[in-house]
Amino acid sequence: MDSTIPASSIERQVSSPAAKFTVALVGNPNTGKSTFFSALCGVPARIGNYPGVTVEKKIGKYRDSQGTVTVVDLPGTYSLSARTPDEMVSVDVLLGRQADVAHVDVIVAIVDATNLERNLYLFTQLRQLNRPIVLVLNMWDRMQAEGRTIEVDELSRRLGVRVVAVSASRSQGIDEAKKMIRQVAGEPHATAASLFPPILEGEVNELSQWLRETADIELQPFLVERLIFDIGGAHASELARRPKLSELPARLAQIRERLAVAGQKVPALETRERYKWIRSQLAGIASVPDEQSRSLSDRIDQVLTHRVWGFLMFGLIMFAIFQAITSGTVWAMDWITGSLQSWLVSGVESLLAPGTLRSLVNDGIIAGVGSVIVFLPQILMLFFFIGLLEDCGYMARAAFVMDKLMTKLGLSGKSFLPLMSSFACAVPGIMATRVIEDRRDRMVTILIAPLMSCSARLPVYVLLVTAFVPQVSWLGGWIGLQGSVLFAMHLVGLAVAVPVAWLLKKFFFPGDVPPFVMELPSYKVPSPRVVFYRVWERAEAFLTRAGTLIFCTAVLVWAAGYFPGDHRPLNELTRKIEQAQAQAAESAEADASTEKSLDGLPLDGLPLEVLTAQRRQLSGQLIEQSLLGRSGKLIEPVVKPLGWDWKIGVGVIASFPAREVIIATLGTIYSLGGDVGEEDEGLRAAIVRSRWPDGRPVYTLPVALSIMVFFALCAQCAATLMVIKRETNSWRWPVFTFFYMTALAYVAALLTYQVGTLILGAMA
Amino acid sequence: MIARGIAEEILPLDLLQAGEEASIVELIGNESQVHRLAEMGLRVGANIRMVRPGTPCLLALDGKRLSIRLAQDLEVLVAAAVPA
Repeated sequence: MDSTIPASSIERQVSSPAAKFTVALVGNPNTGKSTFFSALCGVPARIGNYPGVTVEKKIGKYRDSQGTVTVVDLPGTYSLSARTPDEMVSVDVLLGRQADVAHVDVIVAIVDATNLERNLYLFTQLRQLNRPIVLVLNMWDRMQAEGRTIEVDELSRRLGVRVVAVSASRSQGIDEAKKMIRQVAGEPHATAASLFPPILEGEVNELSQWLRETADIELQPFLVERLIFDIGGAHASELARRPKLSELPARLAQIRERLAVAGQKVPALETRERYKWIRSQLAGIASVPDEQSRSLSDRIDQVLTHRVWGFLMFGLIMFAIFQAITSGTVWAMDWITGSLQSWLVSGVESLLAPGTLRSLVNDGIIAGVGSVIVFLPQILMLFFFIGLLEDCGYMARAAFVMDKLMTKLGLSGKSFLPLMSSFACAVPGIMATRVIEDRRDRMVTILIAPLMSCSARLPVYVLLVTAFVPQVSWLGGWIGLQGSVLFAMHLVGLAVAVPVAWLLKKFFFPGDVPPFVMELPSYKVPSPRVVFYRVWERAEAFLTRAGTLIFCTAVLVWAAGYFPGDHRPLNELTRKIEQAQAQAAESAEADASTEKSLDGLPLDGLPLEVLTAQRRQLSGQLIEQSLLGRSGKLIEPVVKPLGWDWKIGVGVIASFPAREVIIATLGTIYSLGGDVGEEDEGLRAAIVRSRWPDGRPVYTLPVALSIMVFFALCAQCAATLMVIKRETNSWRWPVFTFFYMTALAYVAALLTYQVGTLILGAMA
Repeated sequence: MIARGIAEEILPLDLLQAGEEASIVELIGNESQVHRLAEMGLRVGANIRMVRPGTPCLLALDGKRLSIRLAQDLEVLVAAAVPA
């Protein structure tokens, strides 16, 4: 990738202080902006939020021949209006009013070359900001394939900005764009002439003067113009809250009244004049879109947006994804648990003598954190598919098909996309609700988003499904029962979300169904780069979580399970066993006998299997006497109706901060409790072997289902609750979410276990 | 169908049938919603074609596909060429 090639030292010497500068990337949705961003910068250097609002702050860097360029990627938008606080952020960044972002030196306006007229609307606003602009005509390859042309040089002359043709998905024109950005940064630029009638300019000047005189506020003309255009806009209401400016709304109304009398009605004035100007600029140099060229996309849409077929196809695609996740990653999981994990454990055993430190490393860290890491392949696969679906343009179709259903719940198709991304993780899903303009709709969507089955639930499902659901498959191995159960588990949250959404909309947020407008982009071959970064980003997040939060909980749980207790007899026993094993291995090597003779070998007058049984018993006693065991016994009555023993109960309680923690906790508990076998290390084997004191297996199919249903519905994610607090700006809603979900989870798990046991009993 | 000549008829957007073309005459409703529609290209004078009628419907506009479901307080009037 050209962006990662370090500039040579000679070039670095040439660079001037102005070598470093900041560019802002702005464009409509579906213009390939994120593809262009990753072609420029690779992985974003920093992703965060602008303070106080929900706008994602994405910053990247690249090096060109003269220095480092910082790229601020602003959210895709059709207009630079300032009707909501979120929209205002983009305006503030571009005007240098956002304190936490460097002054923007160059604006890179990215437009879809196949749809220039409409895309240039945003450009007409950007040119008013008096910053150097580079206009990037993206999707150039596609426009050419449609047999159309744009005269780039003439367009550049007419618009008075530099124009570059780019095909970001093929990485064509990227170097040229970089060169042009560099050139523009050092050039003086002329102030763009207004494209509105003189009467508006007069009003803008007058209002600016009034603001200056009354409240000593100096606003850029663009912002003053926006005050007039954006009826009920956020910026105007923010200003009106200042004591000296309480008159502002009345003044704006008067201005609009005067404009209307002059035949220039707001807001029609703005859109009419901008489009008129665009048309005059494009006249004769850009060919008009040919309707025929969309025929392939339209033919696919005949099926995918069909009210019946579209719906079925959506279900089918999701089903196929979960089949692929179970059947496609088993080998990787088996390798990690079977080879890597047991290799690590025996490595530690050969280095450390039996004792506290060895227990911490093997039972706490390897069995705890390691059990979670096992699920990395599944999570990567899920994000690979989500990335593919997003980048090829399918998600918008799914939202279109779902709108009909969503309106029945009082929501709109707009809510569907945040809910869909909550299947990956509720945190970005909840942040994505900002595209929903209607407040009530947004609230309901936020409150049901945590019910969508996120990727942190995936490990829990996979563990239990692969352990307790029979490996049956049909249609020549293409459809497996395990994959189907996994798919069904993802439907549980969705099914419960339907009545919850309906109730919330009915009793807490009553109101009409808002209108729904959304663009469906043309289908395209997904960009490997965009999909790769998507997967990469999640892998990083997952491993970071495993290394920090999950690591800490695993160590805490280990400590609670290890102390208090006298471990000396256990250590002594372990030493004996290991000696016996070493002797057995030696003699086995000597007479090349099989494992069979190993078990029967006498030592201290006792066979090895008796010693191992003793150790298991001793470990079990120790963990039951530990802090963890005692508190576990305390809560057992609460979880027993769900079919769980105290170990599961402790695991569930430990996993309230983050649900993956249950895997780590169970891994540690079973490892400490001596439930892990000698040959097959790993949690899956341990839970299969786990027994009640009377010898019955703890985990039966109803128990596994009850755990899965509990995890499907429970609000076990501190990060999600925090993001709800931030987005709703109140503690009321995270508290509400926590209680409604946890209560629902308990009741549903109870029903699952009790009904499941009844059915099993009736069958037996 | 017997074409007895071509005339223009003003009708709400959602009455267009699949494949029918029309141009937008008026957007009626809440000003900020109308403003937003116009910014997305659904403006007075724009030519549209109905791709898939229904709620929501699918429109072709400037070579793009737009899915739209209007609410009770938001209406789009179009002029369609109809057989008179």
